[in-house]
Amino acid sequence: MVTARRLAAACAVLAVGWGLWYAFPTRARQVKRVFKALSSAAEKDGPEGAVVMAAAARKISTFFAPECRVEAEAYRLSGTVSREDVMRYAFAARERARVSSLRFYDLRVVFGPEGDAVAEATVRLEGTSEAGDSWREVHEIRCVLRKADGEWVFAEVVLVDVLER
Amino acid sequence: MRILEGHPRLKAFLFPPMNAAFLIRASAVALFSALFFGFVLRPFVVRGESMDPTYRDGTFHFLLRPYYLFSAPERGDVVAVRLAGERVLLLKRVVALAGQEVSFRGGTLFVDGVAQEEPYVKGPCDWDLPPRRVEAGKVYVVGDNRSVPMEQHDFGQVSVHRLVGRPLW
Repeated sequence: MVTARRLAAACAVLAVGWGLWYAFPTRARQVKRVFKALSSAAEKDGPEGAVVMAAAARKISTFFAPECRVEAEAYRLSGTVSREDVMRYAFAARERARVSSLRFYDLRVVFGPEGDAVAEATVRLEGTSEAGDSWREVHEIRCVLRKADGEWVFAEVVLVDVLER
Repeated sequence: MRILEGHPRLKAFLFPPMNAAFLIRASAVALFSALFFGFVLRPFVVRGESMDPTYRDGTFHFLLRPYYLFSAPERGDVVAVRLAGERVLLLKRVVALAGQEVSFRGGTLFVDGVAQEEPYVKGPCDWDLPPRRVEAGKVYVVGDNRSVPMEQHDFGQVSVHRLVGRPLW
């Protein structure tokens, strides 16, 4: 009887601990959740209509600051993009792909003196076009995220040139 | 279980008693496996066609991680290149070392102006790349599958610090 009570107490302590850990995430975990949410928003697992596609593209754009600096030589992108630009790119990408996924690996987050989060990760983009052609791309990225209206948003995204031609 | 009745040693091997000695042995095996397959011989699965046909999509291999702790990369080596971490790696072949000049002409690889025999390249290739010299502390890596357009193939010079081993086979 005593053992059962102790076991129940230990489970209760663990449950409360887990609840607190989940409810009050550290800044690093908050940032990691943004990557996870973006990955989830970018997922496409089948054909979708224009309205659904537009809603998904709009959701993706909310992960970015109103002015986000992008350096991606592989995509010939360099400069500042607005949320509307992000939405347009996301819509175009979803329109071309039948299925697609965006995954982040080896995510590391550190915080700068001004409170900005600097994140490094490997990103893998995979998908299949409407014509049935599949593609797979892997990049190392370096991002700066800032807090705006209580949410972490991407303020800078740089594709690291691991292989320089 | 009746089949094991006459074989006590086999029975003890397959169904050992759950005592302290067994738990210590099992923990030691688990720890050794985690360290060995995490830091020495890491299993990996090829995803993509960049090293086709030498390393085909979906095939399973082991990465010998400490290899470049004891030797420098050489031309012809297949190497694993680290990105932000080691969960996703690029698999490429070293075609030129620091200080050497690399170029492609009509699909043929030239190193220091000399055309290279590359028996591992099977498909047709029409790449043209002006000469460039590999910087100090770097190696030039290319995939074996050159039948894709050059723009769609990831290759170039990479710091030797990013090389995290080579496949065992």
